[in-house]
Amino acid sequence: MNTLVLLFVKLTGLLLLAPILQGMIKRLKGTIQGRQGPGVFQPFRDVKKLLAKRRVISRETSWVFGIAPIVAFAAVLTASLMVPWIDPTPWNYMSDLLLFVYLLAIPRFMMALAGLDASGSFGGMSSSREMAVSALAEPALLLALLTLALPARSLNLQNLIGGSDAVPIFTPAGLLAGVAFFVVVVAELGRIPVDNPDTHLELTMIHEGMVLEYSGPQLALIHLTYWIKQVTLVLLLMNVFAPFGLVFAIDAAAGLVAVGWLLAKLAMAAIALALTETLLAKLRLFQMMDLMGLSLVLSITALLFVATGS
Amino acid sequence: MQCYNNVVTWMGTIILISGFLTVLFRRFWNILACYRIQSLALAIATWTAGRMTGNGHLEMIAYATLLVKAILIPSWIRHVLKRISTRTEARLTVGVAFYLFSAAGLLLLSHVVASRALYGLRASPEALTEVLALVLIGLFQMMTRREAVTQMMGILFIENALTLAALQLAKGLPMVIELGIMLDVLIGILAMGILVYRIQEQFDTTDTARLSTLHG
Repeated sequence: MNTLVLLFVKLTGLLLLAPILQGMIKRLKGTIQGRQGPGVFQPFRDVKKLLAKRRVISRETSWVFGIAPIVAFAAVLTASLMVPWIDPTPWNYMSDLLLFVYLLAIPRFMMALAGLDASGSFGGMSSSREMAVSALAEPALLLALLTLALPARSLNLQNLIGGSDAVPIFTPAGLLAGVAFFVVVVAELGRIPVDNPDTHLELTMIHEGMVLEYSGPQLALIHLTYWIKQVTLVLLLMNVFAPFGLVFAIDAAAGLVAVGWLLAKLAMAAIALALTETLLAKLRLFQMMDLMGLSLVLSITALLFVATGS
Repeated sequence: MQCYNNVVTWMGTIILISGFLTVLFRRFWNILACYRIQSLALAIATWTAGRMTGNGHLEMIAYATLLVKAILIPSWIRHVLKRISTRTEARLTVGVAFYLFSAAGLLLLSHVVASRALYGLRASPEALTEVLALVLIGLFQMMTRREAVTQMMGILFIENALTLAALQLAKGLPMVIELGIMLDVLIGILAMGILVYRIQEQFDTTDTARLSTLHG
């Protein structure tokens, strides 16, 4: 019963926080770039508008096109429930690290299929690119997380937190793995050095190209999936590498402080993402390998430091 | 004391990360930015070391580092780059991926050497590993990047690594030596900058591979 209530609270919070994080990033980006930027609650308005619209579906599509957003949404939602928010208590015995990484691979696979299914030239191109990027990002993501799994002697995401005595980000191995993980998060989210989430016009688009054929409620679902994935990865990064303000016991006052920390962490992540998006230019597609190579090399270094037990 | 070690190791890690970043970048400006970050981290580490151990001279050295390595030398290199302004990208002789993984290989090598060297001692091999790797990466950069400017920067990276080594392993060098080294580096870089400028004037390129075809 208790678990069900917690699950419900977590789901509601997720559906509320995910669009707000997206709104915060966009707003901050606007401020940094000297524009006003859309309001923080703009994603809600976007979803509301999209839900009221009719779907237009290409004649070329098959059933894959219809189920892809739903499967992707379900997979991402499941993955997001595994990530601890304010409590590292292991009520979620299923939150396995490998399962988490491969649950994130399902939406990628489905969206790539959907991009091919609509038989538009942009869709196919973007699908192939998405697969290329994910083939590089997946091992990097796993390796960065394994760096923390090794000292914790567990693959459970909940156990990674507080697995070692020191705060990971303040140790050399943790810092290396944290930077590596941040690079992967940026790649996974298709943010600027890898892909530009704001443009539909260029031949360089990856994520936007795949969902080009979607409209109406389906597009709203796809947006929501992306936002939830974003908040999940950001929270994982923050909670695993800088586990400040997590509650270890059920207590109202501690819970409030933890919620405050949660919001502060999200704000920090929004600032970091907005800054990288503004300061960096998009890389050429063939330079993506170099970026992922950097992440891999940093993770390997971190593993080396961890494995020698210092 | 524990806090001191933490800050110095943390800054050492930042220097290592920016060392890897220099391998990734091709543009001179980005490499220069990496050098600035390194010098800043080094200054912070030195300052903290000075504060925690009560060594007043380390604090002085930190300010000198900040002035010379984070402001004077980068500005000078910037000036030289603007004067020669031929190309903004450093040409590589090998691919970036190969380059990166060679850097990782160098790190592994230095780890093996460091743990052998410190075997039986209580000191952790991390610091020595980082420093050795940074020196090797700097040398590797000088070998694989043929532009005269990047070779100049390679020396700077090696020098930063050695200063870090002194800080982490020996808790800093005597003030006279530190300041002397800093002055040497400053003069050396000034001279090298002028030399690079002359090379550019004479040969219309700073690509060192082409310098063998000397003008009569």
